[in-house]
Amino acid sequence: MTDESLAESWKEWFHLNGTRLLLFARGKTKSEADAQDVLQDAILRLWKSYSSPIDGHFEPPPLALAYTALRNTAIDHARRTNRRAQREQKSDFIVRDKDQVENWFEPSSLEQSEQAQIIQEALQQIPGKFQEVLILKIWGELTFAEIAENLDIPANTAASRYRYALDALRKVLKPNSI
Amino acid sequence: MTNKMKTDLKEIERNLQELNPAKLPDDLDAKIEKIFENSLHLSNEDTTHGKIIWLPKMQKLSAAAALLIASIGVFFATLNDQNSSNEATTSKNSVEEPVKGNQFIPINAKKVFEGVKDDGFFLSKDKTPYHGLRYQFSDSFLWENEEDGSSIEMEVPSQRLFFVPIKTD
Repeated sequence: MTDESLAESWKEWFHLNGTRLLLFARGKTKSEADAQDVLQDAILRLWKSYSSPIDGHFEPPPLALAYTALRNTAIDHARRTNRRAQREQKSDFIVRDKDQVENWFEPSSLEQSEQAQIIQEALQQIPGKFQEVLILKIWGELTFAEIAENLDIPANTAASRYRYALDALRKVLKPNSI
Repeated sequence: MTNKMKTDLKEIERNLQELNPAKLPDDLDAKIEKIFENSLHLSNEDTTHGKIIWLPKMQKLSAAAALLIASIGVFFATLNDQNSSNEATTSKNSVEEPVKGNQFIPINAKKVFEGVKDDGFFLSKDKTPYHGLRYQFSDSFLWENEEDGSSIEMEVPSQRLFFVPIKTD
């Protein structure tokens, strides 16, 4: 396998999975800039581990592993960001750019556009542990067993969190519904 | 859970499944593709042209330069302390070892931090990612001739390049 075809295989893998990985990163971080940084770092980690072809063939990293890398990177990033924020509070020189707000979803119609915005806001309101399970299940297309392994929780807990997540969304989206 | 609630949950689940995650911003896409293309760059340098990756050598050179600058700074700072902190000692020394005429002696050395520049990401031969940070300083040295009071001042910019390994485990 040539280097060119290896790079092309990686690009192809990323084009297939990049959008869902970015969505997960957005859910795990506080800003768009952080989400993009986390995705970039996580891909670098994965590339380092999987860049060499095995027996002449490209073995893409399993999606569950990509999510684990993203999750760990997001945790590291949050630790660094917290330390930096503490330093910046003491400094008068740092001026932060206003963070851009990106749409999490690609609506196919004008009607869906409004709904996508409502769902994005609702997702940001529900607890993080529910949100991550929901994103991994719906857009990550992982099974409950894979989610459980990824989050280091029992599979039943993963399934429960998924139901709680939907219920939490329902409470946000349909507050008057019983 | 009532039937109404179950219906609501099904409807929400369906609405979620209908949505597709947004496309990546172009600049982010380009940045990540560069990561994959780096493998070509590394591989070409490594085998095709029979060259070595210069990163480890650059690190050694940077470290040597930093040590040299630091030792010059320490040397002048020590001299400066000796000259300024204890007048009695200085005068005593000057009695014992008088400064020869027309001789410039270092009296001050300063290193002023001017800023730090992000040098981007690098990959070493073993594919360890590094983050390059270029610290910029302005170093100034002052020599004085005690005989006639003339002085020489030199100001030079200096840089220290640090390669910070990115933890990937």
